Amino acid sequence: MKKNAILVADDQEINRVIIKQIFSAYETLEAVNGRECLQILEKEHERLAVILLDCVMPVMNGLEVLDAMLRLPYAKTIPVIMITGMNIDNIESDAYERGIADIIYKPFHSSIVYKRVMNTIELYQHKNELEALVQEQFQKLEQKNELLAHLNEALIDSLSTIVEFRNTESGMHIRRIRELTRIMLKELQNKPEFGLTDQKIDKIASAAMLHDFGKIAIPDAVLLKPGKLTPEEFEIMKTHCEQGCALLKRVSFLEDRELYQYSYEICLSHHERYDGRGYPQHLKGDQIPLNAQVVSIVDVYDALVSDRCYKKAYPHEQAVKMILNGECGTFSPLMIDVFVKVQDKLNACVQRLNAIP
Amino acid sequence: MNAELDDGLRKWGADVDGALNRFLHNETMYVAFLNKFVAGPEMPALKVALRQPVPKSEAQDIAHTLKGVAGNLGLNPLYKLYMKINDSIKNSDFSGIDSMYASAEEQFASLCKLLETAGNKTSEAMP
Repeated sequence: MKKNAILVADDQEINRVIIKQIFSAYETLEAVNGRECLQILEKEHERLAVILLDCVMPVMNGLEVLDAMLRLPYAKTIPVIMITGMNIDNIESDAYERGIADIIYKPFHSSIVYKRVMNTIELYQHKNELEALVQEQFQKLEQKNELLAHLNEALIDSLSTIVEFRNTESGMHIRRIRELTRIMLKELQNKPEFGLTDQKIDKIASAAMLHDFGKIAIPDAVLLKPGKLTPEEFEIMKTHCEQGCALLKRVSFLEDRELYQYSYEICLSHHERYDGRGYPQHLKGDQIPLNAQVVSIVDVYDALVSDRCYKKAYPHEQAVKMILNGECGTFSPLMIDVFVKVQDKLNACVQRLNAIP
Repeated sequence: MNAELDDGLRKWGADVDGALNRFLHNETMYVAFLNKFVAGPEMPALKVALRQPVPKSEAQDIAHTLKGVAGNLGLNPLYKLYMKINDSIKNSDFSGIDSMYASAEEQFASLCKLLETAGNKTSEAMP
């Protein structure tokens, strides 16, 4: 709607008449006190270019009007110029604190009032247009990001399903890894040094689904061998970490760089051990990325509490004991601490997902 | 506005040029508001309100109004006196307030007389 009206709130007719004359190109709406000013504002806010507000008025004064306007979302885009007599204590600071655009003292010069008011109208017009443009661009960007996130999710889902299919594992393993990773990360969110935002957690949890992506490249004879692997076969199996990274590099359509980075780190380092005896790079301690440390411990936990072709599932309590006793690798004190804290949530999550047919 | 009134107002002490500038050189409107000002109830109301006990907030409101209108009309002698009265009430210094009001009343009366004798009081219509 075109902003073609000016609201003048002043109890003195003489001021309203002069302003009406000065701004004859605009329709002038008149209020004789603060309450009337707010009533007109509520009805006409869409077409108001500016409000010229007197300070001392009966019923409700100018500062009270400004206080009320702070609570009205639709009033934020309308500039207010206070027109007041001199010698009112603290009027400038009180009025500017309440968001006025300018202040003009009476008695005023008409030509100066005209120029200052028109400058303010133009300034706010540009400001409002820019804000609308930024808002529009922001919404478009949000929509794009949302679309990208959906595409990435679908892509990761598809890739991880292929891995599972080849691996003849149940489809729930990868989903469990995602949810268990999320539970661990949510607890780690209490440590601000890791900067784990909700968005970051979502991405790491999605990336965790690709931890065994490289298994696609492992020959059937090794990957699907029912018995124990020979040392040579185990060496081949161990290459799935780097194979996963090599494949990720070729999946250039994973456009989210952050997601790509997490997937890469998890693929490469989820078999590293805190004591340096893992593979493939024999990283030690905090050289291992945090996200890979998290996936490493939940992968072990999930393997223990799940049926595999070579073993039955261990009960939750026994799996926890085995991890704490160091029977299934070594983990950082932080990972162990977080794991112990959230163990009940991990157990509940596994039970819930396993109950899904 | 006739020359007699114009000249009389200037001699009285009014800033006629500044006021006309404010009224976008609309002389008819200016004279109409001058007449409205002298016929208004505020001046006698100020006298009554000044007799009220402290804090004299009603008197301060009226003095503020009069100051604003006198300022817009370029009636500088009255504008200054209303400002003094307003400030005195605000600062709770009532010692010279009666003489200030008396001066204002005197200036106001001479302005009324000027508007009457210049013959404009009924000849200018309100906008």
